[in-house]
Amino acid sequence: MIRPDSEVILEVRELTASVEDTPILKGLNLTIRAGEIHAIMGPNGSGKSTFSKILAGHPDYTVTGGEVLYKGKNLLALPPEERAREGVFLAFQYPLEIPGVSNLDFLRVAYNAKRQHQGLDELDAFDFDDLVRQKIELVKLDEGFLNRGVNEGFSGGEKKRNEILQMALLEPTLAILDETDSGLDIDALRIVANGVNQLSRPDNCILLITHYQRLLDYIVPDYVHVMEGGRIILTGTKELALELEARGYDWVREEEVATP
Amino acid sequence: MTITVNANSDQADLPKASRANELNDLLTLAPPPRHAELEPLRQAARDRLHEQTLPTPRDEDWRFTDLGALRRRSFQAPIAPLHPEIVAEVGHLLGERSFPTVAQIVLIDGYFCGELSRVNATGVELLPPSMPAIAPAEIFSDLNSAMLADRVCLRLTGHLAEPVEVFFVSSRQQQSVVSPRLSIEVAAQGQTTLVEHFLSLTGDQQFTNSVTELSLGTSAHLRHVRIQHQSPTAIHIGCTTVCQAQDSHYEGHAIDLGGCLSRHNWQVQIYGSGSQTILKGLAIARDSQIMDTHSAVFFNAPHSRSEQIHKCIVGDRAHGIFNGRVVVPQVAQLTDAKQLSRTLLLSDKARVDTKPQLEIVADNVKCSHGATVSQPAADELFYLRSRGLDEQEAKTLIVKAFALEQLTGIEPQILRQELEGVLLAKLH
Repeated sequence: MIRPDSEVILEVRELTASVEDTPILKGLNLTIRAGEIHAIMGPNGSGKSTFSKILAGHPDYTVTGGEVLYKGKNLLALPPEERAREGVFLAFQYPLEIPGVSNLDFLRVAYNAKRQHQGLDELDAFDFDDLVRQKIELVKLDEGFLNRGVNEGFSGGEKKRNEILQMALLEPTLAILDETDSGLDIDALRIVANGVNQLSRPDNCILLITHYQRLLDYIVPDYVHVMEGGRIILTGTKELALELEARGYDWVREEEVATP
Repeated sequence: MTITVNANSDQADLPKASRANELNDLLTLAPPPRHAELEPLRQAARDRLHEQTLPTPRDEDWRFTDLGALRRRSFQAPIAPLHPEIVAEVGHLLGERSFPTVAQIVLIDGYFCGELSRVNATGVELLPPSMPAIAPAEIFSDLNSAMLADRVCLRLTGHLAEPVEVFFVSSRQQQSVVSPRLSIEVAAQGQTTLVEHFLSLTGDQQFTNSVTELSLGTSAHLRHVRIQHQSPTAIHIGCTTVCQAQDSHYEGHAIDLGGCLSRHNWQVQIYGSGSQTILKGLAIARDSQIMDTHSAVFFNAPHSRSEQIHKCIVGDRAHGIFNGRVVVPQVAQLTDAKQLSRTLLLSDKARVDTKPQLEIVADNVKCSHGATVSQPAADELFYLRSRGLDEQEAKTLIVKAFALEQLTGIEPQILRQELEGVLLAKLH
């Protein structure tokens, strides 16, 4: 929901970044306010996933210029764990399997890391159990998944639902969903989208990174951005996504060339 | 698969005569036997050791294991055993046990300590030390036999609800050789848990060369937990040899934590069909520890199964070694053998050599093996950090999970919890 007077959560100015000396982001600008849902679309290799990882603090990427302000503070100065505790959440495109670490323990440790950061008491195992069983209904995962290793042997759809479960527990201020729709069948897509919609509030914001318009039938964005060559080259409303689906990305590139 | 190869040691180039002297020097330190019945066993082993030498990296079974620490020590004859002060100190070390047992056996420097032992439950019978030996004719097992001072022989019958717990304590700070020997027969249909602890008093510099012989009767079930937790200055070479009769189940858990140099020779002979063997090993090597497990499962009958998972966590400049031998001759049709070796390296200077050794002749069998060597992956760490765990917490979580997974199946639960604490202490 767009409210022009709401707080700016994320402000990205002229961001440039590289991985192993190859420039990927080349002057990216983006502003997201509380309550808004943004979608970044773009062809493969345009830098979408790199951008999401840089926001979360992945050590393989080097920021070479520009700035990222999160709630007015320099986000890039924080290690990944600090960003997480401050309310930045990245739902991974390929969530990792960590056998031997029980999913339930992992969720509790993550949840308590944030509680501790907020100066709140940690939740004990019993209270946490109650909380997680309530949240898990949102993503319609069987409780059996709590006692397995983190993502161990989960299907693609189950991993994505586990990501949304983490999001539901951590209640981020800025949630970045990196290709969360990839590899989902239509039922799983509905469940995931429904979960995300329920987690959207006036005081948080969501950034969807997606290749296809399909996800946007279920999570309706306030803004759609087209990314190409490491920059956002066009911004519009949800209708832009439909146009991209119908016409592909080439016309955007041509228009950009025409109007430098 | 051999992960790294480094088979160099100047010891291999010593003249054979000089290496024979090393072994003879050790044999001259043999204490007198406590029981006359041990003499035939000692003598037979001495005969086999005649003209043998300590192994070098040129011996296939010792290719990766640097015995330098053993060679460099100048061993002395042991002093009188079971000194009252030592017994009191060991009693203090063991303290109150946290779970009930049907028997507690304590060996100090290889000698049975009646004062600290308790064998009075139905189904636990102490036998004379003349039980037939089943240890393999292997150099360190023979050295144990040749230097034997004492031997504890037990027969376990029926369903024992509580474990038999055995403590092997190495007590002295002087450099001497101790040769503990435990021989257990689990009677047909017997069901029991055996827990072996190898411990040290502070500053232990001895060479513990132990042999444990376990013989399982028809349909016997044995759960065996072996924990080697000696001083970082101790040298430990231990042989566990298991013989399984028809339809017997052996579930072995071996945890290696201590010693500057340690080696566990773990050998299972399956003599009856329908047997099951589970081997779970966990070695955690830090500093400059050398920690070696050589296992061997011999299928001498058809239609048996084995499952083995061996894990090594190697940090600092330590060296982990695993060799897993599985022998399936023609007679052992319908064998089902699985083996997996997994290693986590915690530093750039840590090293592991891991090697399956499958010798399969029978044609209608299922045998598989696999080996992985990894470091806590950057992507795993980032995933955990992106959920609010700091880097150290994330690393610790991954390493702990890797280790604790290996304790699954250890009973009683109190023992498993105790072990969790010991592992976590070693990992920190």
